[in-house]
Amino acid sequence: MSGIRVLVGTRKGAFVLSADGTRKSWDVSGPHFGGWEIYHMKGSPADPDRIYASQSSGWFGQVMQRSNDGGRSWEPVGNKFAYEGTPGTHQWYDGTPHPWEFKRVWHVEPSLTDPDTVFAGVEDAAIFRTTDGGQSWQELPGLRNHGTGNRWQPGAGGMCLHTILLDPVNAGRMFVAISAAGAFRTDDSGETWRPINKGLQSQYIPDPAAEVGHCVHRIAMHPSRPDVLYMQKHWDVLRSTNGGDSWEEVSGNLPTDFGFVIDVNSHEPETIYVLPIKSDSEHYPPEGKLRVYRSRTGGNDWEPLTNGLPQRDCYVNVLRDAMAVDSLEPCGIYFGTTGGQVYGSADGGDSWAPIVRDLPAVVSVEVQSLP
Amino acid sequence: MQLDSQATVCSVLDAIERDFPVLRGTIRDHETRRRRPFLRFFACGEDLSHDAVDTPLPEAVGAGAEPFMVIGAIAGG
Repeated sequence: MSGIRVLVGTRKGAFVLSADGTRKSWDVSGPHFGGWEIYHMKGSPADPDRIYASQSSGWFGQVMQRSNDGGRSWEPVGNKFAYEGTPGTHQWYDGTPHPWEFKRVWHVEPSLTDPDTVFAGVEDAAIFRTTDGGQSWQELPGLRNHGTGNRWQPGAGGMCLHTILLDPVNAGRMFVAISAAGAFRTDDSGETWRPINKGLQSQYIPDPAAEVGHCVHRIAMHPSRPDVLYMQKHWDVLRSTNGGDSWEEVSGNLPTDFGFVIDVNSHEPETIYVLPIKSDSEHYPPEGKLRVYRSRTGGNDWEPLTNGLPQRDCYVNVLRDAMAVDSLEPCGIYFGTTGGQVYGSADGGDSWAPIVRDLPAVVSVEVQSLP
Repeated sequence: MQLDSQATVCSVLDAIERDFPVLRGTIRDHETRRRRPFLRFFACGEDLSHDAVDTPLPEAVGAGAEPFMVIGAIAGG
């Protein structure tokens, strides 16, 4: 591996952090699109120089950006996200029907094989796809229209489709997660979808075991074992061993099982990471100590990782798209905070150091391991 | 900027979006064509934001003597 590129989306612009394979010395580029919210950036696995970014602002709405040179230069592409047919209604916070209205793109997920094909998760929740490098976007309406959409409800951050996982083994299988609806799976490339929330328990909704309505914050997968999924829910950390058909709680000895991020070590499919957050109203680390928790057993048994992370007076949050892993050996892990720090570990989480300390609030972190 | 018809808010925005397609959707909604809520339209010292979009703009704008301005609200954090 010749290098690492960390793509950081913040409330006020995009930053690109670059290092060689030792991951010791970092170059910081940015802000790109200064003053704009960058909800997410992600590079194509098929062409690392192709990067897509979601850029938005309250004034000018949604803009999509594409780079063909690894983030050095950018060009705007298509920004029209029109729902298929009559959009219909979902539930509002008070349970009344509310029409679907496009607000922004939360997540971009480039195809594993084609740099011109990208999926976009949006608010109000839906999934779109481009096959022409972002020039035009078409909804995959089978998700919104499969039958439960009228029971979806916004979480505090809006009704967003924030996670898209592409199964590298089973062609046509994808997973998505929506706040607050739950997790969903397609086995036919997005034509048809079904909820996969059996085993989730959410005490804050009328039926804690409902088919939909759960505030799933993030799901993660190791590419070598795509039937094993991990979930950080509004409360509870869960695991599925059957592609989401059922889930079991693996919160174990975590100090709190609320949080936003969850990710999997790139070389150890049973080694997972979460970052517990105090809730419901506080949304900062318990005891003012920023601790990543690692389980080497796929959950239940967790150890705090503190070396190099602030262990007093720390009251930042780590948002759902703000943790990522590289594919070097040992695995590198990165996360960004609402205080503007991006921390990295080059040894699987044993030790940490800030790459940058004073960015705007970090919304998303992605990593590219460059050939 | 060359207009295809009489200068109105609508014809000016049509021309802007024709010549600069990247601005489509950023000043007015793709579908509803409504002005985005944090933007306002001004010309000749007048706030035209709530006028019907097919109302003729002041003659000085059509003649190219005065600008038509799209202004972002002073807001945000």
